[in-house]
Amino acid sequence: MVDRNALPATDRYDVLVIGGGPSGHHAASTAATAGRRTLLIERDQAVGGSCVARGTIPSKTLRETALAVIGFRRRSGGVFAVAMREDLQVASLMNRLDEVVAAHQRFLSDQLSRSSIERAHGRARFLSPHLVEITGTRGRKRIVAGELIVIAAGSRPRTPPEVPVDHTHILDSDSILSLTYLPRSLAVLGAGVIASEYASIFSALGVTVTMVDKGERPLGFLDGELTSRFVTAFSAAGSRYVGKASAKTVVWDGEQVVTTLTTGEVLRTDKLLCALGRVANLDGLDIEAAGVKPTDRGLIPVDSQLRTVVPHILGVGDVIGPPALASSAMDQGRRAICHALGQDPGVPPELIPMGIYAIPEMSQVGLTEAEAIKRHGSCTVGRAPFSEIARGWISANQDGFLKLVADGAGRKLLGIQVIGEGAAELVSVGQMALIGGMDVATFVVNTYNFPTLSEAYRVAALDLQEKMRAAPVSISAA
Amino acid sequence: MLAATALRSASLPEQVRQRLSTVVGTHQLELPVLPEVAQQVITLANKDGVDLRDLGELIKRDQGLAGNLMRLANSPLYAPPTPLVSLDQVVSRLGLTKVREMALIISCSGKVFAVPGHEATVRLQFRHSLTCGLIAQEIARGRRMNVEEAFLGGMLHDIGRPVLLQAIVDFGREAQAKLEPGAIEGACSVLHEMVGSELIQRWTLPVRLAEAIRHHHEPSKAGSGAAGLSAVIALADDLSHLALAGPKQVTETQFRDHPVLDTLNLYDDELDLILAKLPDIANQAKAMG
Repeated sequence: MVDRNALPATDRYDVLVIGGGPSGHHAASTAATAGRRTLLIERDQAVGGSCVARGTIPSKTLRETALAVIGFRRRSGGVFAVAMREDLQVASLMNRLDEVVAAHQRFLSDQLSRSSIERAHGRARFLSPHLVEITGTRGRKRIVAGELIVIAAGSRPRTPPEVPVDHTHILDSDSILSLTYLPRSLAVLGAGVIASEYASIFSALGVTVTMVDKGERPLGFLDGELTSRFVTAFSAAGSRYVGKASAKTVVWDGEQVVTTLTTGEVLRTDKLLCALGRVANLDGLDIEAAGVKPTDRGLIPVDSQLRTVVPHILGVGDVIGPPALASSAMDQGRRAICHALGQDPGVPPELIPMGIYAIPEMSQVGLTEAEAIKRHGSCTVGRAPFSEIARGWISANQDGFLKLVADGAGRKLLGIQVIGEGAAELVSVGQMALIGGMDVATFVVNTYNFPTLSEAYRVAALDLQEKMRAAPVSISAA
Repeated sequence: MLAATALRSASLPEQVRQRLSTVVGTHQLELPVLPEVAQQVITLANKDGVDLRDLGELIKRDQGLAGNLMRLANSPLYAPPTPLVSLDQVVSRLGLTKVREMALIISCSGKVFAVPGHEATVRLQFRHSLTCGLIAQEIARGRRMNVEEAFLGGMLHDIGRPVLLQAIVDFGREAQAKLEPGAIEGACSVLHEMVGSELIQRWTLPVRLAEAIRHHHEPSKAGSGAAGLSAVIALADDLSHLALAGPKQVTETQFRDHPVLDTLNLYDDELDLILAKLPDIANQAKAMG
């Protein structure tokens, strides 16, 4: 056994961070800012993790193209017919992708360098609670020691045995963007964030999409009004959500992907995307050698301060499970280090917003109506359809809405939900109000730029106050 | 690199060297034209609203291409679950991309990898290219990159070699000069990336593919977002030599330190998976010719 004190000083760190995605990056930055000597270990040559290379950034780049197509159709008032070429190469729809990814990776890399965070390219494996072995692509090995170790190894797509992913016809979320041509039809298994985003993006690009999931509605953790509107928009684009069903068998028959559902329905599509969750990247990490045991679902169990059973080993991001969003992962990375170093982590995690970059875009922060009733027994709700906002009409975004959730007295703000283009940006106004502990009335007595979607806050607050005046009764649990 | 500079060390007869340097340097090297129907198939693949029936009708105009397509579609390379018995079935089952790929393989085999007097050399080159394509698609699959694009890149990466060989043979005959095999190989080695890349563009294939092929011996120099694809081709190129036991002498241990492993984030165990597939891939390629 290697004695960590016998290692050269250059191989002994205050903080080791395993994984360079959003959570690892933020953990490393927070540690370095606090003056700790930090090493970031990443299995890919570039930093950013799946978020930058295969997930968030690439899918959002494709989404921008889809939005441009929809936006042109809508804003031209039907004057121009916009149709995608059948043989259109997917790569050509993301012609800025390499530039965007490279710029983001360069920015992250520069930031790490500026913070004097050291980097190691390789796979990590625990040898003991404080020792980690790093193996490079050419088999080179190095042993390093850390006083604090953050596991931020991320996740990869889960492939159930009944779905024979071949990355050519049957794809997962890592390979879906390597498609050469846009398929005519696509089956999407799953109804989480990744499934909903890709399903709606491909649908907007003219692909006939069938989304299949056990849940009655997609994105079950979101406010029900948001998901109902999402399904309506999805159906209007010619696609279909099949709930209460799952795939029994999936076969590529040499011509099409044939998916037999538990309901007996048989889908025949050009391609299939399997987005049935993700698996934490714990393979090869040998966390047991550090004294940490994964849960039955293959996740790392952590307490409220993101510590594992071994107090100096922290778990953040996808390895600890839901919500597995970049925003929450970043916050966990920062929060875990703050707790470990005895610093105040600031805002509680329930005020981290959630952004779903589907078409239409959805976002929420704080409590939903159902959560507010569950927690407080009652609540009040105000709505602002974008059809009542000048900016909504100007930008052909009138199908969206903003919803404010307040306490039973209609005063204290508890949560905000938004659907429509710009939702993820718009929700930030409400997030700041929640953090500042502002009342609903704050939105009424202040003036916003005109015309902007921010006006929706005032309209929703007025709606809530109007309802309270008309019938001062809050919504309570049945 | 300029053709003249690249050829400086080539030990070709002076007349041949100068002529080759001039035609390559001024982009006047006679590049093979694909058979009319094959070129139309590729062009059709880049057009709007292609009707697969039109594609079938087009191929039927070239009986040679049609027959070879049927043979290739039923070969171990494509391994259909049930035999394909008609051209329409081939087109509808395999789709536009695969038919384009097959038209290229057939055309390259019959038209480009065909240099009278050097049949054995070009047959080995063709086999190496096919093997490289098959390996490239396996690497791409593991890296979650585009599998079809990787196959084409591997298949066409050395397309400049037979073109140059034909030109050197022609120039040598005209100059009545004696050509040493080593000198021919030297000239082909230094110019094949440049010439291959030009040919890819002439055939209206994607710019990214041309860029990847142009730099497949130095992938880090590839632009247009082609560095990853070029790295895949570079590794597949060397692995193809290992799979076929030549002509370049490489050993398995050399791959543990291959320069593109970092770029591709390819670790030992992942490389092992690819190495394990090499015998099957080599057999598949040998069965093709």
